[in-house]
Amino acid sequence: MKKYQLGEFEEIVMLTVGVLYKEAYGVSIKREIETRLSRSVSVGALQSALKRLEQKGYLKTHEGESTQERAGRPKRYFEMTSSGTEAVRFARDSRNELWDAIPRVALELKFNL
Amino acid sequence: MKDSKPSQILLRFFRWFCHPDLHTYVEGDLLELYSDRLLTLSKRKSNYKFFIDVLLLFRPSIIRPYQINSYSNNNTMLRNYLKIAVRSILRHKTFSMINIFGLALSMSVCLLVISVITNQYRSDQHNPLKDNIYRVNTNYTDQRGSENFASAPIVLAEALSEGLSSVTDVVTIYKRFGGDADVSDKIVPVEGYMASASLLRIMDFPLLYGEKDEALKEPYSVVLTEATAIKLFNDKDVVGKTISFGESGEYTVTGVLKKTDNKSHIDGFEILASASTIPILEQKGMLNGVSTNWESFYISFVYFVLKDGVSSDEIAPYLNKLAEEKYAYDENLTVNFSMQSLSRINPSPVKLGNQLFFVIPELVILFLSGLAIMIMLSACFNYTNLSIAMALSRAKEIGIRKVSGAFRKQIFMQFITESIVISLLSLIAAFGILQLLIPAFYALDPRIPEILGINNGWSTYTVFFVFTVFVGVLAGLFPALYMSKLNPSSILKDFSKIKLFTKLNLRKVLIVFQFTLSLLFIISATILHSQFKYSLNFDLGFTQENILNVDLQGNDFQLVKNSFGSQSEVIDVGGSLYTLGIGRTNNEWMRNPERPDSLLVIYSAITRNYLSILDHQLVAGTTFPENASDSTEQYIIVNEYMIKNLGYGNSLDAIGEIVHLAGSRDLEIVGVVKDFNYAELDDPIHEFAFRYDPSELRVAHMLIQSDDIQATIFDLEKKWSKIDPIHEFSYSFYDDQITETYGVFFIMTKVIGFFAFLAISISSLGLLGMAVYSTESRLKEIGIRKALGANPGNLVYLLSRGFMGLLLLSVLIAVPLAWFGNNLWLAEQAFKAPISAFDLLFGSLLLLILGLFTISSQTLKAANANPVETLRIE
Repeated sequence: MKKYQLGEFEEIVMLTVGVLYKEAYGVSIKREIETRLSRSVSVGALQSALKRLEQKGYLKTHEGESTQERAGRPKRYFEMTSSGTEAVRFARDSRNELWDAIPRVALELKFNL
Repeated sequence: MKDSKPSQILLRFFRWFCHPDLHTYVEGDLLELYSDRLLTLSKRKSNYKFFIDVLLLFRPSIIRPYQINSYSNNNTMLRNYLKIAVRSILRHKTFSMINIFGLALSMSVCLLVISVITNQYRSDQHNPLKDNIYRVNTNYTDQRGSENFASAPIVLAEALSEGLSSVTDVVTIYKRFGGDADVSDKIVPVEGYMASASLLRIMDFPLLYGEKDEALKEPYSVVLTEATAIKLFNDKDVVGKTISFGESGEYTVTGVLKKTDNKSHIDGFEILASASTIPILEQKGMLNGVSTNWESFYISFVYFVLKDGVSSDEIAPYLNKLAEEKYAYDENLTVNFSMQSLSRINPSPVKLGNQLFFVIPELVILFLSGLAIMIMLSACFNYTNLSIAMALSRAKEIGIRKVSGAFRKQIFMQFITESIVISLLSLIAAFGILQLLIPAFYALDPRIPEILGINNGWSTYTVFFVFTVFVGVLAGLFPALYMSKLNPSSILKDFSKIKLFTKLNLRKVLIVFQFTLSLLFIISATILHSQFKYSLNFDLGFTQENILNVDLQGNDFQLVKNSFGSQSEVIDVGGSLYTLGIGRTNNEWMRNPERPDSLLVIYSAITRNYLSILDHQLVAGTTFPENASDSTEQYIIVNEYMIKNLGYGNSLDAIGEIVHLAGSRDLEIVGVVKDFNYAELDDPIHEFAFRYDPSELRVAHMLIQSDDIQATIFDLEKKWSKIDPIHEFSYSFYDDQITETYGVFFIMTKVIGFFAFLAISISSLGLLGMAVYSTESRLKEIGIRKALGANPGNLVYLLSRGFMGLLLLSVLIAVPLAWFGNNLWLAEQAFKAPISAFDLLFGSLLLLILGLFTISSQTLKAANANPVETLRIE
């Protein structure tokens, strides 16, 4: 359990990086999360999450091209590492396991309310 | 879209704090987001969002780590700056010496001024309650005019503590206490104050022995300083011993003050007595209304402590109301109380009379700092001047440095480092000079060590250091800015094309400034000296020669006269209330009984023979008659001026007329004395009167004729010790006392003269440097001119012409300025020597000769050099 630690926001960031595949850099990740999950993400929160994930070894980076609208500043692309993939998978499995363990009654009760 | 950029300040802030690994990427993200948003949002909104983004990025994981700075090679760079600085100082030894010596000279004076000033500003700063303590000051206005006093009536203290809940404590001080302290085995005079029990606690006076809160509580208790305890008892632990002050009674020592480094404006006492003794002394009739009378505020002081958070403005209305009520009985009189915070008492921002002890006015501090800054600027100018002049020889170096990649900032730092190194070297030299300066400063006047002590603490040394660095930056700023601006391509291609301040002529302006300043000092010192000599030689209207004045110190005049009169060298002994012509005056209202308007008359009481001993000229009448009563006053002698203003017209007619004194006494005029200077020369002669009152004699004036003055004085001293074994024989010759009175001129002459010496030395050094430089850089030209047939005279003229022009210009500026400036203070003098042509010419000539000498030392050498030598090199 302790092996893969992912916070909620970290998990979302990881998944979004996965979704974007080769196109994951600061702005695109932010945009993706904002459109898909309709929640606003500040650059600061995103960058510190990315940095944390990189330090944990779940993400790797490489420098990309620079465009005019970035005033010549290069992009920094993110990619999941294999341990990153493991971590996301682990997160999903553990959730599924929990989901499956919930008695049907509990859920139904909730839905009937 | 292109012109819409986010705020540069925010971006710069972001770059500053962001981790260097991240900042380009994140900055790119930020910019991309910004331009994205611009498509959908207004510019204002985008800017706002940008601002929020940057703000939210300011978090620990994004901020750059602190250690990042130590990775850069600043240390190496600084070491390089230092190395180059030392090398260039060593390479130009003459210029470095001129700079260091000049800076050190002026710096030493600045250090002295700093030590004195920081010492004054230390006053009462140690007191933890300093922001809550206020002193009540009194403004007193009557028909004679308005005056501000640092003192206040003691009775006010009671009204304050009872009437206001925000006042937690009051302190009162009565300035007069002391006399001959009788401590069983000896009698020693001691002086001090009377103070309330709260003084020691509130004003933070630690006790070596005794209880702080109890010491000054009971009547007849005294607290001694350590020095007094040793003086009286040869011991420090003297609590419980008793001291008897004659009629006043027997006092018990309840405490001994600890000697500390603290400086307080409450100083200058040897002993403190409890203020609770005052009412008892009043009952005995030894004091009069001190603790109850609202009009006795001349020598008493009231302080109060305010609760935290209460501003003094809240107290003001109460004080105003109090003053209005208590002084309502006299409609001619208006009294106002004001408050002064303890931490602002010394140095004093306002002029206040009746200070408890010496307080330095802020104006004096400004004046002193002004003088010091002028001198310092002058020395800085030398540095600036010489550095700019040397730019020629350093320009190549700068060019090479720039070509090899130095930024302007680095060249700038290089030059600033150099000037800071020079000024630090000067600090070392200045510190040495300061050690010589301090004794000379203390020797100016014996009172100086006590009142204007210097502060030797680390705080002062810190100020020295900061000051030195500041001087370094100031001196080096201009050359550094200038040199770092030079364009490498133009330096390296053809240096001769670069014009050094041809338009500005900054160097010339600086030289003129320096010499004008020097000349101002020289002329002022000369004028002060003439004024001093004038004052000494001034005919005051009576003789001072061979007159020995003896302070009676409470002894009976007749007794002293009988004893001293028997000495064969003493021709006659007269007595008076006080010595005239040295500044002190007593006055009283007098009038012609037929006229309503009173005159404020300065008077002294004298013996019958006084006028003849001091050789006063009687215009009419005689001295006091033999039959004048010793107990009731009948007669008066007045001066001519007073006769005129009393309305008696002719002096001869005035004899026998009546002068009415306040308190309904009528005195008959028996003589009219010729006008003479009874006060200092800054006061004009007004009404003056001699009165006859043998009980009021305090000084004996002896006409002495002796071949061996020393022996006579020795004999007199022996006689004195028989009359009064307690007090020392206190005497001085009248003419010496007059000299002392005008000593302030002499001290000022010395001080200003010293500044003049500094200023002229510094500017001469600067001139020397400039002359060395300009002749050296023109050696070739001189060689060619000589080879072509110019004679040395022409060459000297050619080389000196420019400098002499500058000096003449300084003279033209300084002479009118000095004349005008010195007339400002001379206008306050009733009797003054007018500024003579000599005063103005002496300094100007001195300056020109010194300047000429300085320049010609270089130009002569250059002009006489063999052209072969100078042209052959290269």
